[in-house]
This record gives sequence, structure tokens and C-alpha cells, in this order.
Amino acid sequence: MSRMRYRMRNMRWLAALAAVLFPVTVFAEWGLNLPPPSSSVAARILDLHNAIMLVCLVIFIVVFGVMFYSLYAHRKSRGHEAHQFSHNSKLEVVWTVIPFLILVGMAIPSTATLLYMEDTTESELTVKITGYQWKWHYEYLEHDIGFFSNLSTPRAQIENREPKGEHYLLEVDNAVILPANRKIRFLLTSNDVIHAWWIPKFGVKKDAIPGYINEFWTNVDSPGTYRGQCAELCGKDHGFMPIVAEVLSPEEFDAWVESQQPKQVAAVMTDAVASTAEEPAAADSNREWSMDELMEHGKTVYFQCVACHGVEGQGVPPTFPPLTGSEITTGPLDAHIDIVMNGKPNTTMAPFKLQLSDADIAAVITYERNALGNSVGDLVQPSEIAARR
Amino acid sequence: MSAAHTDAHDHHHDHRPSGIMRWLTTTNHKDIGTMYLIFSLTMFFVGGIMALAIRAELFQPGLQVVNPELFNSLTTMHALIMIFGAIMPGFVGFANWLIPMMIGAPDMALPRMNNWSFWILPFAFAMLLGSLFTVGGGPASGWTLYAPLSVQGGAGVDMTILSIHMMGISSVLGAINIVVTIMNMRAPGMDLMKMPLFVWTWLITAFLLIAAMPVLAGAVTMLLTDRHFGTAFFDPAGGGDPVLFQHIFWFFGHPEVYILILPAFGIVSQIVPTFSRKPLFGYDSMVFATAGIAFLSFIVWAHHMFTVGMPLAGELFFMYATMLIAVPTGVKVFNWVATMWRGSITFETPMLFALAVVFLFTIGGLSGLMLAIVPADFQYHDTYFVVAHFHYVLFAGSIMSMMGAAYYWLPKWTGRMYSERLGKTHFWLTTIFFNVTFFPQHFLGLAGMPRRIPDYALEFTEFNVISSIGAFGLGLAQLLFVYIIIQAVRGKNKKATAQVWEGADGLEWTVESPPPYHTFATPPTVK
Amino acid sequence: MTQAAANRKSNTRWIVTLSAAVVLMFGFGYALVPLYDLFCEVTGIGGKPTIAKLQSESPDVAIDTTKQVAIEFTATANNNMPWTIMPLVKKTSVHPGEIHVVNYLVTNTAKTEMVGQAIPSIAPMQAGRHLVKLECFCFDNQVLAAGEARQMPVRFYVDSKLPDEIKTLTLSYSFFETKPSGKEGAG
Repeated sequence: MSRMRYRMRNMRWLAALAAVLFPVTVFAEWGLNLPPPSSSVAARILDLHNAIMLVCLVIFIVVFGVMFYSLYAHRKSRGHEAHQFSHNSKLEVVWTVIPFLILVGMAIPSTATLLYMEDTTESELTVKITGYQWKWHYEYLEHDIGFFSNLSTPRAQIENREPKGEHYLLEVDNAVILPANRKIRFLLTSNDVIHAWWIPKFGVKKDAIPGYINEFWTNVDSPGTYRGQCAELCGKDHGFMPIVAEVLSPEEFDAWVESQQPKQVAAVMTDAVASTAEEPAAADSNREWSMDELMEHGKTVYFQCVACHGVEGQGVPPTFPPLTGSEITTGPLDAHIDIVMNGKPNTTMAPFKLQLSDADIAAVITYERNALGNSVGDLVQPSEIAARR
Repeated sequence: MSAAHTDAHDHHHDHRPSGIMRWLTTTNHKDIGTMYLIFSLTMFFVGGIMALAIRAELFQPGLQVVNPELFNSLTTMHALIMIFGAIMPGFVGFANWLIPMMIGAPDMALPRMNNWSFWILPFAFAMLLGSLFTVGGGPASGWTLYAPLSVQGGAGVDMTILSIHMMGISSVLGAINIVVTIMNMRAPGMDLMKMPLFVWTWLITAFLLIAAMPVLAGAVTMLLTDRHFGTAFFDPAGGGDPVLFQHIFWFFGHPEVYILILPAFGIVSQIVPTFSRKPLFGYDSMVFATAGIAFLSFIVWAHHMFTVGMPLAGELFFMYATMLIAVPTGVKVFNWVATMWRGSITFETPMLFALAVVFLFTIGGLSGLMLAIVPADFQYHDTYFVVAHFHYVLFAGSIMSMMGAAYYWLPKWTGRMYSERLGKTHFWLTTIFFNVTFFPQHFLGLAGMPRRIPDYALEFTEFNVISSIGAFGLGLAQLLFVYIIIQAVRGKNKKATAQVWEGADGLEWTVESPPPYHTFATPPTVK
Repeated sequence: MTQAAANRKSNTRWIVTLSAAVVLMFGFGYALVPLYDLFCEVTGIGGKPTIAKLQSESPDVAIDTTKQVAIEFTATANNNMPWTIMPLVKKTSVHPGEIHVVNYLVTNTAKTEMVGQAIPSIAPMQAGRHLVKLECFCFDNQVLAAGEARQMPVRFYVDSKLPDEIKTLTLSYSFFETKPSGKEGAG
């Protein structure tokens, strides 16, 4: 197995070498070119990319063919005498006009592709994407469905304490569900700083800008899982906010939409409800939880806080305060519940009542007060959180 | 005659202080040029060490060496230091040494201002580096400092803004000095269209600096007042707009790109004719091409912003304008090749570097052309393809041209030849490791690896490993460069003649090597 | 000496000219701010989230029943602002020239009074100029008491010059907290 992988690695080396020598032909096979397209937009971009690449290569070979011939043939060591010419108007006009014509030739298909990409009309589904530091929120405008999508790679893999999984850093808790073979229009905005939504195989990349609504579209040609990443530097965890799209057949997609409906109607009147948080919510809120249960569940929920407040609760001062020994986590319980539920405006501390269930909030607060170097000893029941909604 | 001339320009040089005071108070263009070059080389290593920290982190997936906050600070600082600390002062250093000698002037026109513009720099960079040690760390929003991300940072961002102001003042003063020198100090008979191309490219660069740097100063000032003084230039809630920052920034940023490359074109245009033993082909078209590139640089800024979401007409305009830059740039490359054509070529180290610049810069230029194509840019934007592109332009273009220039003029400055064998070794190590480092990054970008991430998915591992190995090789090879320079400066090598190179042509080759402290006290006559 | 004096004089002229250019370009950086606003206004890039202003009292043309445009409504609370904003109509279809009113239900879920400013943005951006707001909660700051919920109306029409190829447009609001508050760390 490992020898196999070793050989694979060797072959990649070879492929890289081959690509330098015979570019376009080997590109698509070895991840040396843009990934195989999964939408008509991406397909057109790939064609355009290959065409420009070819033109550039030809120009490159011709120009440097001449240069290297000259370096070889007109060496002093070969006894070549210098010819003292320094002008040739005809030649200079030619090599100004020809590149210009080549550029016009490149501009025409580029313009056509751009016009095609900008045409968002006649879409069959609108999905609104909102970038957050550091997660995505998806909302299906026609269907009243909305949820957050967080990185699901365990911290232990990132910190090299566990072997890395196959989709390391490219996996999320809730993928955005999309139908194949339908024109999907995306609306894109941001909650805080600028992000960019990008799935290479879809051939789309657009910035999510606070205050702006951007739009773009795609049309995925077959069901499957597609992965991408945030492409615009958005702070500390820019490298840890992947994008995963689960593309279903149109029928499966309709069934999925159907299955989401009742749940969402029951949800609070908000455009930001995490779907995971909803399922066991009601039952969990009513029963009495033990300290151990809360602590155990809290540890899992705390995963969502790690990005800013640190695995050990150490934080990243001054932007992200520590939780160990802080006034909030060791002070009055009320204030602690309040900040977790309602957030702190103008900071990355979100109002988590919009994202987490009662049990999640109760557990994470209990965990924060009795772990991370704190030992206040008190606990919060999910029912208390429910009462404060 | 000569006494009168000296009196007018640098009378206090004749009793120059010794030791540290000589360097603190000097107004001699050669001393200041030397200080700029040493400063540039120092910053090249400081920025290089940051690059190696980045490459060490990216050697394997997972977080090993630095945490994400420090990683973002490192990428930000690496860019700021290399652009404002290594490349720009490096070119100013060459300008200081060479422009007076090339146009037959005794010194720069404004020697005292020259001293100030240099001595601002160490303070500016001390402040920038100091920001790393503030609570909250250094600037971490990328060297582009995009709002609103840059509004979030701590005191480190304010220190960065102030240091950018200082760097800006330094380079604007330097630029004014260069323009005045070139316009007023030319020896009799040195018409504008007889000036060496290095002088021409610097004249145009100086105008770009004067036009672009104040705009950057404006942009970061707005950022500063948004952060602390309640303005809302980039805050939508107060009627501002985050995209506006990008427009203002890139209105500076694109001319800045040519500030970083035009002097490199000048250097190549000096070196290639010398070692081809032929005059430069198409001198006039070279000058016009340079001016054309400079003009176009002011109307293409939004090609850095295609994914922001512009109206279609805007995208088309910026795409066409950007593609047009390929025409004058092509003319330059063709002229260099035509200069070599039917010459009598030899391959000393400076020539090797100049050839590598032409070859590798063209790769960067062609990937730049690809980036101009809007639909394709949607795939390339903010990926390692862009990282590869601008390192081909800035490292292979700007930095390697300066290395070539150092070898070319070092014998003139020190009076001693450098070791040709070591020089060639340095060249090959640099060229090979540069390509090992940056060529795979094209593939990483196409495969979908975003830039500015401290950790990556497993499919990107192989190329990152290769790239990191190349980076360490590239870094180590530069120690050899320092050794070669020190060897030449210490004067153990073979003595250099005044002409130094068989095919060298120009006023700086008419004075002895090393040149006297004051050259051309009597203006030479140019035929 | 005269040569040197002439040189010095001409140096001064260059220094003055170039310094003026520097000051001018610094000013130009600032001039880009209003120029950008003007550019957005002229080209009708409604995407720019400036505070929309009342444009005219009533439609300039008769209702054009031959054309139909779908309009979607959405909203975002920015910077984790604890407000929920929900359009009571998600999607509607209008004829150009026809005046419509759509209400947003805005709730302040915080424990304190808050001031919000809505910033409109329209996709596709070419449509920005053609969606005319006669009355909008985005014209002013909105003050909501702790826990208060309020319906906020926007009265608008689509003008007849809307390009034919635009068949769907989206009106989006982002709410920002306006009271300038400290930028200290997250809690």
C-alpha cells in the first residue's frame, strides 16, 4: 500500500516533468490543469484557458527559439562577429501589429464567455450565501430553508495528533444541497469582512462583501460531492472555512426540500436557523440533564468556540479574550448566558441563540465554567435557556 | 572651473567625517547608494526568513511551525518588506550610484534631501517590524490591507500605516531628487534621447512614484481615520463602501507594479548590449514602450478586482486595457532578442542573470496576460497561480535583475572583479531553485489551492513539498551572494579596469574603477 | 558660479512643481471618494450600498402591463447584530410603473435599545437605477427598543427603462448598527 503510494508520488513527478515538456495533452489527467469541469460555465472557462495557454506557449516557443538560436549561433566563442545594426522600422511595426492582432483574437472568445457567465436570467432556484468569520450560511429563498455550514475536520487532525482524513479541511457539518441540471442563481453577501465563495469545478468565484448583494449562477451537470474553499483572506481562520456542495438529482432534491419544510416552520422566526440544532431540540430542552452529560456534550459544542477562544480557553488577546479565569466564565451565570445567547455586537461573538439549540447552549456554558481551567461548579439546564428565548 | 563646481554642489564633502558620522551625515551619492543597497540586501534577508517560515509551515499539511494569526502576519510582512524594503530601495540604490555617473553629473541635484530620504527608511522598517511584538501581533490583513478586515486588527495595524507613510515620504523624496537630477544635471550634449535606458526607465518610474505613492498615503490615512477618528470611508453603515478601498488601493497598486519592474527593464537594456557587443536594438521604441506601459498602468487597476462584481462594461474595459499592456511589453522582449541577434555573445554572470530575467519574466508576463482574461481570472484569482505569477515577475524580474546589476557594476564600484566561478554558481543555484519553488505553484493554483492559507487539503501536498524544498535552496543560495560581494569589496580579487567589460559603453565606464569620491566635477562632453 | 545659480533656480522650479504634484495626487486619492459616488450614480450601479435617497414623487410613466418583472426580497443583519429581519413577502411580480409596498418584520432580540441603519443593494447591479424607492426604512436610522418588533415598509416601483433582459431582480437590505461603539475585543 505504502509502496503503491510511493510509486504514485514518483509518477506525479514524472507527470510534472512531462507537463513542462508536453503541456496541454497531459494536463487534465494529473491535476496539473484546472479540474475537470462539472458545469457549462466551468467547461467554457477550461476551453478558454486551454486555448490561451496554447497561444502563450506557441509565442513563448517562437520567441525563445529565436533567442536560444542566437545564443548558440552568435556566440563570441564560436568566433561570431557583432553586426552593429540597431534599427529596422519594418520589423518593429510587424512585431507591434502581430501581437495586437493575436490579442484581438483572444479577446473575442473571452468576451463571449463573459457574456454567457453574466446572464443570470431564467434560473430555477435561488440560494443566498452569507459569509461569516469563519463559516458559511445558506438560505433557500423560495423554500424557507436556512442553515450554517462549519468545518468538520477535528482539531486533532489539524494539530497533527490524529491521522488526517481523506477530505482533510474540505469537509463540513452541513453541505449546501443543490439540484443537478438546473440553473441555480446564487446571491452572495457577508456578515463581517470580505470572503469569496469558490468551487473550482463549478467555475464560479465571487466575493462576499458586507452591504453588497452579488449574484452569479451555475448549472451542475451531474450529482456528487463538490468541494471548494473561501478564496479571499478573511482573518485568522481563512484557511478553515471550506465549501462543500452535495448535488442531488432533481427528484432527490425536491424530496429533500419537502423533508425540510415542517421542521423549518416550527423554527423561530429568523432567517438564520441551524438545521442540526433543530432535531432533538424540543425533547432535550424539557428534561433534566446531569453534570456529566452537560460536560460531555459541552465539550463537543465547544469545538465551535475553539477558533477564537482556543482549545485550552486561552483566546487570542486582545481580539479574542481568553475564557480561562475570565470575568464572564467565572462571574455571574446570567451574564455568561446572555453573551452566549445574544453575542456582542460589532465583534465576531455571534448571538448563538440563532445557531445552537437550548441543550447546546446550556452544555457549552456549563463546560466553559467547569473546564478550561475554570471550576465554578454551577450548571445550566436547557430548560433555563428555553425560558430565555 | 572645477573648484567653482565643487563649491556649488558639495563643498562640505572635502572634509568628510569618519566612522559612523560619515554615513549618518553623508550627502555623497555613492555613499547613499551604498547604504540603500546594503539596506535593501538586509531587508531581502529579513523578508526571506519570513518566506522560509511560511514555506516551512506549508511543507506538510497540518499546523506545525506557526499559528494562523502569525502566518497571516508573516505573509503580510513578507510582501511589505520585499516590496518597500528590498526592491524599491534596491533600485533607488542603483539610481543613486549610477544616474549621476551615467549622465555626467557630479552628484544628485538635492544631496541633503537624498540623505533624509535614506535615513527615514530604517525608522520606518523598525516600526513595521516592531508591530510584530505588539499585543495582537503585526498586520495580518495582507499587504493590500483590505477594509473591513484591516479595520479589525490591533495597534500593529496603526504602526504599519504610519510606517507606510514614512516609506512613502522616503520614496517620493527620492523620486523628486531623481527627476530634478535628470532634468537639470545632464552633462553638455547628453540629450534626453541619448540617455542610457536605465536613466530613462528611472525617470519614468520617478514620475510613477510621484503620482502613485500619495494615493496610497491617502488610502491608508482614510483607513486610519476610519479606525480611530469616526470617519466612514469604508464603512457601509456610515455611507461608505469597502470596495472603494480596493479602487483607491489598486489605483496606487498597479502603477506600483511597474515601479517595481521598469528599472529592471532598464538594467537588462544596459547589460544585454554589453555582452552582445552591439548597441541596443530599437532605442526609441524602448523609450516609447516604457512610457506606454507607464501610461497604461493608470487605467488597468480594476483587473485586480474582477471577482468583486463589476458591471459588465467595466469588466470588459479593464480586460481590454490590461491585454493591451502585452503590446509594449512584447516590444521590449523582441528588442532584447534583436539586440542579441547577430551579436558576439559571451556569458558572464551579469549576462546570465539578464537572460534569465528576459526568459522568466516573460513566463510571468504571459501568465499575467492569462490573468487579464476575465472568465479565466475567476478561476485563477486569489490562488497560488497568482502567487506564482507575481513571483515570476518580482523575483525573476526585479530581484534577479538587481543581482545581475550587482555583478555588472560591482567591479566598477569596488575596483575588483568578483569571482566569476562563484558568480555563475550563484546564478545557477538561484535560477534552478527559483523554478523549483515557484513553477509548481502554477499547478497548485490551477488545482484549486487558495493563497494566504496556513494549511491545505491533502491533494496539494506533493507540490507544496517541492516548493518548500526549492525555497530553502533558494534562500541558502543567497548566502553565497553575500559571500561573493564581501570578497569583492575586501579587494582580494583581480583588479578591474576602467572599462571592466569589453563591450561596455557609457560614461560610467570612462572613470577609473573604483571611481574617485567625486566624479565628473568637470562635466564631460557627450558627442 | 552663474551656471550653478541658474541650476539652483531651475531646481527650485522643479521641486515646487513636483511637490505640488504630490499634494495634488494625495488630494486626488480623496477626490476618488466623491468621484466614485458620482460614477455609481451616473452608471446606476445600485450595488453601491450608499444610503438611498428619495428620487421622485411618483412614477414618470403609465403602468406597462406588457412587461413583468419578478422581485425577490431578502435581508442580512451585519456584524452579528442581534436583529432578525424578515421580508413578509419573499417574492412578487410587478409591472413597470406599478407602485408596490412590501413590509419587513424587524425584531431587536437584544436586551437593550439599538439603532440600525439599513443599506440597500440590488442584484443585478444594472437594475439599481431602475428600482425607485418612494418610501423606505433605509432612508433613516431605525431605533428599536429591547425586544421590540416592527413592520417596516418600502414603497417602490420599477421604472419602464429597465432593460428587457432583466426578468428577476433582488432587493437586499443589510442592517448595520450605527451607534458608534468601541472596537474592543469580542466577549
